[in-house]
Amino acid sequence: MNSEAVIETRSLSKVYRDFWGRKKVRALNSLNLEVHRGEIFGLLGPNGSGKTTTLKLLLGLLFPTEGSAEILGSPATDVVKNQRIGYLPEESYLYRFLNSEETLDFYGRLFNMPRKERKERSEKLLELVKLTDARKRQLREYSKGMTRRIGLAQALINDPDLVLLDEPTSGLDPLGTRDMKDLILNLRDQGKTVLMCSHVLSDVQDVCDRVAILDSGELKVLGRVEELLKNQGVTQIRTSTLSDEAVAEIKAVVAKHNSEFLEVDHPTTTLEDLFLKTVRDAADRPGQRYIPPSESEQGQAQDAADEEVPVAAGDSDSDSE
Amino acid sequence: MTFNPIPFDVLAGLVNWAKVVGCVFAAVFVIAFLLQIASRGAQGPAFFFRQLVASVMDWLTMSPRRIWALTLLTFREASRRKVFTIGVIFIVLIMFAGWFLGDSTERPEMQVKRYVSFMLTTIGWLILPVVVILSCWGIPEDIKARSLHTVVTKPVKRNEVVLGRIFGFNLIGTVALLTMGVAGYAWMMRSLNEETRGSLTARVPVYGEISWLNKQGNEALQGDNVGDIWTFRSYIAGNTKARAIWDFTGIDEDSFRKNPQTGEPELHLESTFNVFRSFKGDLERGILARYTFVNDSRGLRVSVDPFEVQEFRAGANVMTIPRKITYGPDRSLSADILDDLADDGNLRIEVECLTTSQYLGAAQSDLFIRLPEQSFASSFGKAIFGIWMMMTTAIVLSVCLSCVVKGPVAMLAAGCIIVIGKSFWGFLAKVASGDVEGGGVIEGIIRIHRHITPNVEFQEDSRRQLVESIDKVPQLYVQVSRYLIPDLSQFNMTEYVANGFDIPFSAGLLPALATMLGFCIPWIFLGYLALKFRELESK
Ligand SMILES: Nc1ncnc2c1ncn2[C@@H]1O[C@H](COP(=O)(O)OP(=O)(O)OP(=O)(O)O)[C@@H](O)[C@H]1O
Ligand SMILES: [Mg+2]
Repeated sequence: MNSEAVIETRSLSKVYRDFWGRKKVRALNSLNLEVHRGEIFGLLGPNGSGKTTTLKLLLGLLFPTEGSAEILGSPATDVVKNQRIGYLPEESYLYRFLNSEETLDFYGRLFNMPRKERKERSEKLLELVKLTDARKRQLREYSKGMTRRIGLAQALINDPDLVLLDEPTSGLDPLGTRDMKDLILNLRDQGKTVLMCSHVLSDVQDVCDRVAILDSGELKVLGRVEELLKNQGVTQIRTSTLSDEAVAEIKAVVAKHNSEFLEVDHPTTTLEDLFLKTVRDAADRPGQRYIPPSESEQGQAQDAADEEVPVAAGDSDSDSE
Repeated sequence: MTFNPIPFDVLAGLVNWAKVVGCVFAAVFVIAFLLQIASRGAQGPAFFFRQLVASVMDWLTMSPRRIWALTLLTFREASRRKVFTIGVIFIVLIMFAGWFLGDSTERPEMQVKRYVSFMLTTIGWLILPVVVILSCWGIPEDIKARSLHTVVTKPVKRNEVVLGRIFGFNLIGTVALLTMGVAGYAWMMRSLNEETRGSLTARVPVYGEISWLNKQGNEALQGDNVGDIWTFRSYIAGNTKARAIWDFTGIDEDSFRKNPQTGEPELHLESTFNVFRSFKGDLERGILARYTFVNDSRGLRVSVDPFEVQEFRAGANVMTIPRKITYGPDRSLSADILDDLADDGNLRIEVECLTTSQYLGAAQSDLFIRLPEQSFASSFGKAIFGIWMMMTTAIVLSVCLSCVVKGPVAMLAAGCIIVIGKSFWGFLAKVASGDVEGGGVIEGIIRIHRHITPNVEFQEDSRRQLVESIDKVPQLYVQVSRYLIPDLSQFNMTEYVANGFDIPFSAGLLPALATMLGFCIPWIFLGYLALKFRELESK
C-alpha cells in the first residue's frame, strides 16, 4: 500500500444553521483526516456524531463552515472528481418510479457512458447484487434490503476508484452482509479505496484497515485496527495443560528470564469494548481526544499488567478480565 | 378587426434587452462579490473569481447525453404519475362544448370565430396550469426526497440539471399540446358543416404605414375626430382634400394573385373602413370612396373606379385591380402597378371619400393587400406554436423559481407573474409611464378622500410637487418590474386565426419568439446560479 492521500481534510467544520442563519448544531468540529489509496477506512461514532455530515462535506453536498476537504486531488465542490467516485447514501435516495434496469441505465448516462457499455455494466452489477430477477420491477415495490442492493449497484456503475459507503450493511440480511463485506474486501484487492460509516462494529472490525471514531463531531480515535485493538498492558501465555507448580515455576522464571515461554501473544479486546469506552470517556472529557494506551500509558500499564497475567488452558483463546 | 400589427424591430429590441440583462447580472455579480468579501474577507475575491471561472466552465463542458438522461427521467416521472389524464379533461370539455357552441344559423365567420377562439383558449388554459404545477414541484421534490443528492454526486453539473428539467417538462407539454391541437382541429372539422368550413381560411394581409392629409390638403398626424371616445379610427371628410394614405413596401410579383378565370395577375385590396354620417342621407346606398395610386417620383397619379362602403354589411370589402390599369379619358392610358406605379417596391395608395359631408373612418389595419391564401391548418398550427412558446416561457420561469424557493412559493410567484403578464401587462406599462388617470398612489388617495375627479388638475404648488415626487418611487418600482415580467399577450395569436388571418412572421411570431428567448436565457442563468450555490442538504 502506498500512502498517497485520496481524501484529506483540514480542520473541516460544519455548523448547521436555520433559515435566518442562526446556529442550530455544530455537527463537525475541526476534523483532520487522511485516507490513503488502497485502504478500507471505517468511520464510527454514535448516532448524530457527524459521520454522514463528513461524507456529505466530502461530496460537496454541504459546504464547510470552516476548513477544507480535498478528494482525489481536487476540492470537494468540484464536480469533475465525481467521475471517479461511487457513493452509497445512508438511505437509498433513488427514483422510486424507475425499475432497477432503468435506474442503472440512468446513472450510467450521467457518466456519459455509451449505450453498449451501460448495458454490459448494468448486467454485471445486477448479477453482483443479485437483483436479476427483480430487474423489471419499480423500486417503490422493493424491500429495504433490495433497495440497499440497487443503491450499491448504482454506486459502482462507473467502476469508481473511491467508494464512499454510508452504513453499507444496514438493512441487509446476514447473507447480504457477508456478500457486502466480501465485496468491500474485493474492491480493496482491486486497488480501490473505500471509506465507510457503520454502527455494526463486527463488520468494521472484519474489513477495515483503519478506523476513526467520532463523537459529537469530534475525532476521538484514529489508527490501524490491529494496533488500536492491541491490549498492550497484557501478555497472554498459551501453553499446553499446566499444573499449579508449573505455573508457579513459570512465574518464577518470568521474574528471571523471558526466553522459555512456549507462546506469547497479545490478546485483543473487541472493537465493541473500545467503542463503548471511547463514547463513555467522551462524556467525561469533552473536547479531548482519547489516546489509546499504546501511545501514552505504555510504561505504567505494563507494570500493572504483570500482576494479572492470564493463563489459558488448552487451545482456547481467553479474554482479559 | 381591432388589432394593429406592428413589425418587430429586432435591433432595437436586442439593444434594450442587452441593457436590462446587463443591469440584472451586474447587480447579481456585485452583490455576490460583496457577500464573498463579507464572509471570507481577503480570500473573498479569489474565491469569487474561481467560482466565476468554474461557472463558465460548466457551460462549456455540458454533455447532451446527461441532459437527455435528465429529460427522459422527468418525462418518465410525469407520465408514471399520470399527468396525461389532462387529455381526458380536454376530451370531456370539447364533448360538452359542442352543445353550447353549435349554432348553425349564425354567419359562417362568426361560427368559425367562436369555435377557433374556444379551442385555442381552452388548450392554452389547460396546458398552462399543468406545466406550471409540474415545473414548480419538480426540483424541490427532488431535493426533498434527496434523490437529487444522488444525481449530483455523479459528474452532473447544475446547469445540466436545470436544462434537463426544463426540456423534460417541455417534452411533456409538447406531447400534450400536439395531441390536443390535432384532436381539436379534427373535432372542429367534424363539427362545422360543409359551408362553414369554407370560412376556415388564413388570409395573408400586407399592411402599410398610414399617414394623413387634412381638409386643406396639408399633412396631419390624424384625421378628424367625430366625437367617438374610442379613438382607434380617425376620419376623413367627404369631397375635401382630406386623405388617408397608405405606404406599402416590398411589393413584388408575389404580391399579386392570379385571376381564377383569365390567370392574369391582379392586386387584391381588402378594406374594413367605417362610416360616420353627419346626416342620415340614403341608408340604402353606402358612402363612395376611391383609391388613387401615387408615384411622386414619376409624377403619376392613377385613380381607379370608386366603390361603395356600406356600414351595415358584414365582412370586408374586396376590390381586385388588374396589374395593368387602364385609365384616363376612354381608358386610353395604361399603367403597370409594379413597373410604373410602384417605386422600387414601394407603393402609395391614397384613399378619399367622395360623398359630400359624410365621413370615412380608417385605421392602419383597415386597408391591406391580400396575398394568396395560406391553409387554415398552417395558421392554426402557428397559433399552437404561440401557445407552445408561452408554455415554454412559463416552464422556464417555474423551474428557475423552483431552484430558489420551495414548490408552493414558486407556484405562487410563477402564478402571479403569469397572470400579470397575461392580463395586466398593458396596465403595468401604463402605470410605469405615468399615463394612468388620476396620478400615482398618494395622489389617488387624496383624490378619493377629497372627491376630486381625475380630470381636475391639482393646484400647482409645493404640496403637489411633494406628492408627485413621492409617487415617483412606486412608479419607478413598476418601471423596473415591467422589464422583469414578460408580456404574455404576445403569445396569444387567437385573434388572427379566429378572424381568418394568417399569422404574420414579423408582427406575430417574431416578437413572441423574441419575448420567449429574451426572458428564458437570463432566467436559466439565474436559476443555474441559484442551484449551484445552494447547499442542497440543509433545509
Ligand atoms: N440538514 C440538517 N440540518 C440540521 N442539522 C442536521 C442536518 N443534518 C444533520 N444534522 C445534525 O448534525 C448532527 C450530525 O448528523 P449526522 O447525520 O452527520 O450524524 P451521523 O453520525 O450520520 O448519525 P447516524 O449514525 O444516526 O446516521 C446531528 O446532530 C444532526 O441532528
Ligand atoms: Mg448517518
